[in-house]
Amino acid sequence: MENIESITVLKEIAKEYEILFVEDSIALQKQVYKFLSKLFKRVHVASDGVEGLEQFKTQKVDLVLSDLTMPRMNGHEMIREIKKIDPDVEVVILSAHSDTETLMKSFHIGVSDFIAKPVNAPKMIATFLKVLSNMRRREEKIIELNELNNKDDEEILEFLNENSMKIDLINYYRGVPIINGAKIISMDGDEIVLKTAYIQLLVISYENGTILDSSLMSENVECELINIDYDNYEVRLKKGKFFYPPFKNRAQVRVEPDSSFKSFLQIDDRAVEIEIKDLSINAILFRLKKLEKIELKSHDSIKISLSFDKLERLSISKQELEKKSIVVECSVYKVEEDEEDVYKVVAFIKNSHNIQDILQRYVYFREIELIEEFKKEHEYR
Amino acid sequence: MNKLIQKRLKALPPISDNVFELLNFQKNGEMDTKKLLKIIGDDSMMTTRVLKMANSKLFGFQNSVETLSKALELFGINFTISIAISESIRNSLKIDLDAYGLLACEFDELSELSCKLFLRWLKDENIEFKERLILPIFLHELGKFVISDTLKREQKDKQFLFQLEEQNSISKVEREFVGVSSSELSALILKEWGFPQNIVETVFNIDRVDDGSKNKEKSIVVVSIIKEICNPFKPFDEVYIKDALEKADTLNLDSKRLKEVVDSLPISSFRK
Repeated sequence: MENIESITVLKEIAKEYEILFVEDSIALQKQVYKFLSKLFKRVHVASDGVEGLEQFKTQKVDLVLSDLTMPRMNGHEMIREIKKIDPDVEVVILSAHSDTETLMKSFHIGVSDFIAKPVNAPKMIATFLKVLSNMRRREEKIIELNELNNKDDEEILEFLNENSMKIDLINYYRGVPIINGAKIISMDGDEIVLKTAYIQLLVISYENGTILDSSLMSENVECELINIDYDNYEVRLKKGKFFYPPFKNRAQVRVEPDSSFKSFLQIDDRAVEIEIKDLSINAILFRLKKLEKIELKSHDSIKISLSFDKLERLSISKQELEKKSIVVECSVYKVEEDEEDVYKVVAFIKNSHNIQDILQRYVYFREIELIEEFKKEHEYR
Repeated sequence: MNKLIQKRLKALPPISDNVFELLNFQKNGEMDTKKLLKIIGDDSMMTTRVLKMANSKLFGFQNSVETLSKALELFGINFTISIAISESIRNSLKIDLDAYGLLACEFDELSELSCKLFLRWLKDENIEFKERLILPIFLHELGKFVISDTLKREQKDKQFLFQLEEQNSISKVEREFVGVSSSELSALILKEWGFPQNIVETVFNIDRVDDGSKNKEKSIVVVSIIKEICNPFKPFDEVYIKDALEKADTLNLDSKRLKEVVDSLPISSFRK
């Protein structure tokens, strides 16, 4: 009874797939072909590795069933070539050889399963059921993921957890983003346990938390650190608020400037010293003392002159080199009160290829310095 | 294999998806540099490492290399990818070489030196051969982090260091203490992470070159020689260099050139 049920299930799954069957024995070819054609959508047949490879290249093949010992090109050689074309195709070996070395060699080249000769129906049913079920599960997961777009982000986290899928953890060290993948180990109410790279654990410890990000979620999750198990590369976090993500891409990497950095806001005929908190190739965040009595508002055009030690190395014009500074034209985006006597201003840099080029180089240099600093202070202990 | 090591193997952290993107990029022979710059550029650690190496005295480029695209131009696609991948892998595990007497901060320098040694020694070798081995050269010592950590937990690190002094073969001492050599363990780690089989096999066999097995494939022997000279216990020590040169001779590799390159590298900080 079990066999009848299994055949029914197998027929249901296999009817959507096309199989390539490669076998040099004509008698066995006929026998197995008869069985396969009752199950699969279509059965392609070849008598040796060369023909098998040719069929694979020209036909739509979802699964390969192959003998190992064949003339012209043996099964292993053919499978290697097939895997170069489609590394994900499922391959089942049909062979008289059951010695460990042959099996290991087969698995080394990506064979999914093995049917020992002499072949019989129960063996084939059991093996195909297993292999095709795995294929079907993988395909369903892809469809499910595509349907997830409208799902609630909390449910998406559950989904990621249930399917052992990775998410990203985002942290910052003085502006430099440090991002690594993580696997959800468990979720229990507000708490979530993740496994991630060692360096990420260090920066989570530094920031006392992290941000969870997944391309499947429309928002990120801010999390607070509970504890870290360095031995098992695990971190326990308390989930906080969901929020729209900041940035991960290079154009928006922001860095704290180095100590040699000097900056002035050029306004009317004055040069007012400002403190730059961070900068990217697109924007500058700076602090301006109220005491300077400068009222800035959104959309104002301003000029900021920047000077720093590395300027000489950054391929700037002779004129700029003589002045030992560059002048950046910006548009004010927003002004907020930071402390009692200070404004915090975000200004976007107006498009200037030359300036952005210089800033890009500066950001790269600064990233190197900051990451070295982070490693020295936190990793090499 | 030591039970604690088996446990550590099961407790490995996941590696970044970027690593697999880069491996696929390499495997498929892709040439889309814009795409490559995006993958590496969006990862600060990878970017930093590539730029740092490009500006390192070891590589001796004339002008300072200020952007990732410039570094890519100078290093080429495959070498850049290998640097980026090795940085991501390196950051996944806790670097611990205390049992071998090397500091974590010295490990990066040693890694660069081993790469430089390999490239200069085989500068006349075909590019495909060299590019195939860069990743194994960067990754073959992963196992040592786990071994060192394990020995410290079992309070056998001092005994281990003593045996390293007494015996000439690091892999032999490793097998005595934990049942596996560092290269074999590195291969198992890479396999757990789903690295391509060819890289796993190359790394796996590095410590088997001397065991009388049939495995004397040139690529494996080359990496084994680099490993011997750049071992973290006594990097660039005369005894290990001598052994490596003999190995090179036995297998008709250019030992004269190898000696010249070793002598030309700035290794005084490692000579104890």
